Amino acid sequence: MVTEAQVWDALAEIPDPEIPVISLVDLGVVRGIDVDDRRVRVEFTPTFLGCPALEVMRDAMADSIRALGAEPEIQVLLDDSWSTDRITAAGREKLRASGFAPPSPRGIAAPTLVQLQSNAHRCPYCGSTETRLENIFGPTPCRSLRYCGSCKQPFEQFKTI
Amino acid sequence: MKQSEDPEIAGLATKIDREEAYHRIHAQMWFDRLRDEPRFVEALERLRPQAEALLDSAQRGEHTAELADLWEEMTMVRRSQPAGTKW
Repeated sequence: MVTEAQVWDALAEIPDPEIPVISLVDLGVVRGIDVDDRRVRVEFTPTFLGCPALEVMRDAMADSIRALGAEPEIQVLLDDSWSTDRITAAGREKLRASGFAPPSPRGIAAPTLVQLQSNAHRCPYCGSTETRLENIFGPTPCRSLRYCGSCKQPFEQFKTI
Repeated sequence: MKQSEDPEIAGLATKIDREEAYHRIHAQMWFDRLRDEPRFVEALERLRPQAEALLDSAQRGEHTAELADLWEEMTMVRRSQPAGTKW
């Protein structure tokens, strides 16, 4: 008999396919786990809708539950329940330590160019706020490129959604 | 669509709109950079009927003649894939 805690632990071992320094649990995409005898149901709230890694995440969770000897059922939630505010504090620190600036907290209104161009974004390497926007889209749609004028280092900034 | 009675449509539309904010800003930045570039202005004029066809269709609930060309273009990638291709 698998316990809910065992499933959480197993999912916390799965790295994000695009940014493997954080796990799927750190990323906040697991909204709930329900264990019913040998069946394990996972509520999966996708990150960006256009994210090419969603299927990889879904399959990795199913494999990990099978490895515990249970039958997985991954329910993809078609709602607006994920935002970057769901990334855990531990996840944000792992991002920063790896050179990815974690997303700022979500505001009430949609982001504006003025906000993105402001120097409210901190460099993950030296901590300076003297950073500028280079491009809204980076290597993946969920990241922007910024440049730190203080330590002269380009870095990737997670978008806030 | 965000006001849809279908919770899935409303939820997804809300999510898409939040992501779209970045695409709109990105498009605006490119527009501002290229607005005086003759090739850009020429291409914009050439494509304007298609953009208008899309908006007109959405507003009036019926299709204009230009929609056929637009539909051809928008579905090209999907149609070029063998049936059952998964992304």
